[in-house]
Amino acid sequence: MNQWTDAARRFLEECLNRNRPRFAAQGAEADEVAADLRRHLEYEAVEEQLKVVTESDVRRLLAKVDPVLVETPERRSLAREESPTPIRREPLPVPPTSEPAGKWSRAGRVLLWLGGVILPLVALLAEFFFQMSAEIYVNPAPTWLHLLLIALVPVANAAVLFQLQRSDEAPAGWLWALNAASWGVSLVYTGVFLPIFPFAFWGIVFFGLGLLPLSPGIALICTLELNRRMVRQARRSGGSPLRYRSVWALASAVLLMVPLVSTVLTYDWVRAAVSGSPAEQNRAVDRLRRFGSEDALLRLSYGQFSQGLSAMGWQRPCSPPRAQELYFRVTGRAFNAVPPPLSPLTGQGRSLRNGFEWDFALGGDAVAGQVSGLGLLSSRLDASAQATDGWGYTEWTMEFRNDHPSQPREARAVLQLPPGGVVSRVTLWVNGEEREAAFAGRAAVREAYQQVAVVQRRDPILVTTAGPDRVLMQCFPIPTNGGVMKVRLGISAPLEPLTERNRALVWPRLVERNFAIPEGFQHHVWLELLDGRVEASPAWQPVAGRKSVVHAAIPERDSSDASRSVRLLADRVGRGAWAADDRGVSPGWVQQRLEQITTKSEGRLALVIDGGRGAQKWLPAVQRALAASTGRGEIAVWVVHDGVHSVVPGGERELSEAAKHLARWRRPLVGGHDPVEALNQALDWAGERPDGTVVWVHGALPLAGRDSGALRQRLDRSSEGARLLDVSAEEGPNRVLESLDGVSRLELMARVGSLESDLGRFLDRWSGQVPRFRWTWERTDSEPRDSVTASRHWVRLWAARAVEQLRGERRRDDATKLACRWQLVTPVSGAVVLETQQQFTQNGLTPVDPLTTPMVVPEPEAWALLMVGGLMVAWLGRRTRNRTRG
Amino acid sequence: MSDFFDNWVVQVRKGVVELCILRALAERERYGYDLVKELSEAPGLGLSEGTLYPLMSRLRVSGLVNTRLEESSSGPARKYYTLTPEGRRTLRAMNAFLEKLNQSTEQLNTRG
Repeated sequence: MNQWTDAARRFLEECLNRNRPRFAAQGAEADEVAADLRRHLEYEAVEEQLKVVTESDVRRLLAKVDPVLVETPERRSLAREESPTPIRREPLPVPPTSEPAGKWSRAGRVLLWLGGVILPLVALLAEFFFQMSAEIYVNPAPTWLHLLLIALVPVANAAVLFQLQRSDEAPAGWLWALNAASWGVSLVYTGVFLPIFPFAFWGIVFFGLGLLPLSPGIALICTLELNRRMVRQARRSGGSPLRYRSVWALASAVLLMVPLVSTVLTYDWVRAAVSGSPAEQNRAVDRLRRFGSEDALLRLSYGQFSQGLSAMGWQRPCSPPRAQELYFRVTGRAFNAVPPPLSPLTGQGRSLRNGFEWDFALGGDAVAGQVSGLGLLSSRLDASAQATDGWGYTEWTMEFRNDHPSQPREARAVLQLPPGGVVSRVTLWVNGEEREAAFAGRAAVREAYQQVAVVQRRDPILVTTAGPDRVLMQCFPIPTNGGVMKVRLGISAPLEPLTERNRALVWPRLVERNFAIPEGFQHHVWLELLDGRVEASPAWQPVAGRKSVVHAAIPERDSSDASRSVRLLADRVGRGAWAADDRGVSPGWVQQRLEQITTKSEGRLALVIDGGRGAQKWLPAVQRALAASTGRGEIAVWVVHDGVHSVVPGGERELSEAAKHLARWRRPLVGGHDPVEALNQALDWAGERPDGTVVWVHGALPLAGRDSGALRQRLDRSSEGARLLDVSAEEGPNRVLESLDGVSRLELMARVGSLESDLGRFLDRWSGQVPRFRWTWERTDSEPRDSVTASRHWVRLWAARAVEQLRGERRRDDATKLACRWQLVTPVSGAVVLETQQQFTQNGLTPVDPLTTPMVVPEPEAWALLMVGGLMVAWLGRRTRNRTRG
Repeated sequence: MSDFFDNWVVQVRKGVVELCILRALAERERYGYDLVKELSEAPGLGLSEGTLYPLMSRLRVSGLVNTRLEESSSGPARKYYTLTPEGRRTLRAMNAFLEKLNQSTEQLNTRG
């Protein structure tokens, strides 16, 4: 039991007395009710285990039983006015049918399903399959995140509609969040499509089309209506709407806007990077590297610009060529080395796009961007080589397939030839038959190609040079819907001499292309060795029963030693043979000889190393090659990284010391950089002493260079200056190298293996530790005493160098005639295959006789033909005599 | 929701609250404190404990319920409520009327 204070008893009785009239007015006995309440309070006090019950306890307990009991008369009269009922105010119950199942409710529900769920879903699917908006206005889903957020709208609205129809309870928190996110997304897209709402509206009125652009606006209205209904239901059920739900809406809107804001900022920085002061340009490039949208930059490189921003008055920040250069400076990659910018709606990577896509580079002399639908179908390399004589001949047969449903395509590619190599045969398959090329002046073949391919849209192929040891191959039109075009390029090349008897046959490679190559693609290689043998390698499989034949499958993306070349061992150093130059006005004989140079270079050695993103992969190999070398001399190292960084100042030192300096150089290897200024500095420094060498180690360089004219001028004008050795660490375009075509003091390092081994070999030769070998060619008009049995490839390789010499002497016509006589693609000549003889005639060209083209199997030499002819005559004569006798 | 609906809910509650008390007592005699607690916690009725005692007093005055007090060793005396025969008759009549009323409203709803 507990104890009540007097004040508590007194207060209770006061309250009860005060309420007696009210009890009586309800038809009850006031005393009985008062006694009941008194008892009730005593129970409550016991329940709460109160030892002493005070006035405040009574006040609290009475208020709990009925707040009216403790109210003063004034307050009670006021309360009575507000609520005449004695029943406690509590949340009203939800009526069984909150919305009467009348006409409006059903119609409203249907409208909400249509506008809030069905229409957004249809719009999303239509965009997914047909990309209507992406083609004509703006890509609404540039990323998968956008796609998911758009899909959220119908999903969220459907969930809310289900909930409102099935339950009378207050909506759950997650439903509020979904609804809020839905109206955030709808709001953003309504804003995006607002500029074309009038067109869409009139489209509906006149053509019955245009509902899809209006779908974000309609979905927004439906989402807000659903939100209103959720609020009403929550209040009726005694709940309350989710607080801060606008945060969810804002979050979804921000998620959508981030790429847009990034795109807009990217455009702004691009504008500054191409038109501001040098300092502003560098700042803008730095920002683009850190925060810019690579996708927006890639689209600009392909000439794509947001139609939505265009509609709002934005101007394209720069031309596609400038964007392509900027893409390289920012990312360190060529824009056409990555898949083209297709919407994620079409799938990943090289998905086909049905829309019209004009190839602006068609018939031009640049590879330009990748085109959709075009891919490399097959590739085979058939080669023959003579290790002793030091030549190899490779026929590269490629098939291209165009899967585009409506646009014929031109395949374009730059091929890296083996060092010193020259294209000596070009073949095109027309209706299943091989057609050989006509060789003529560079301008003549290009004009014929453009006339036949671009204007008449018939089948030609054109091959021209694209810088030292590089050719541009282009063929058009590859038919639509899976049409295939098959071409073949024959390449004569000297074997790279590694030692006196060791040679390397270097394979040609694709360095730039406008077509896709499927993942895991392999080039099938077959080599027939006419003498010597192949050095053992797991990559090369011997053909059963034929010792001199090996084959392999080289993955396209493999850059290992085995994929670059095949090592051969000659039976002997040389055999003193000659090859007949029987296509000239006067007969001549050509010999290719191996020359050995063992002297140590006394000149300065300057290394210019690309410090761009690509160097992340190969810079350690450069350091290892330097560290492993024991040479010593005047050495300097520059690194190209947004300007020129002198990492190792010029001075007498060990190569390994330079490696330590280089290892200490710490800069993030990002972006792509213009090397010309560094090359100029290095050439100036190395050229101060005789026999200087500048070794330029670089990756892909699709950038012409700001001052490449000055670089060429240094190499052209200063005959005593340093030579420039180009070391390509990774495959890709090289515009600076292309601009140096024909420069005599430019050399290309033969890449026969890993960068470390190739660079190491050069450094060992430079320091005189191992001899250096090189081929030389000699032509004589007088018949030699030695045998005349060597391959005509010697003559072709001699002719390629003679063309360069004649070109240097400004005897361009003589150079062109010589190149055409030996059917070579040189800086002054090209090869073109046209479809019909009539086309050749119209363009003043003559296709070569198939009997005069090189072949993988040994070509018949003149003496052999004479011998066959003599035997035939003898046989015919004997037969005639026998008949006469008979 | 409109004020009309609010007022309508209040009226419905007032109409059914006596029925609820009688139904709660239909099975057996109930201890007043427990009965009040149970009814005040019934969802939707919106009754406070303080408002139930006058209602039960009125039912007793009307002869529908009987009460008796029983002393308790652990606290105050307990008051027990039972239905009178009159109370049972009234409860049956009220149930029948309510059932008829439900049927009528259901029929109207079906026709609509």
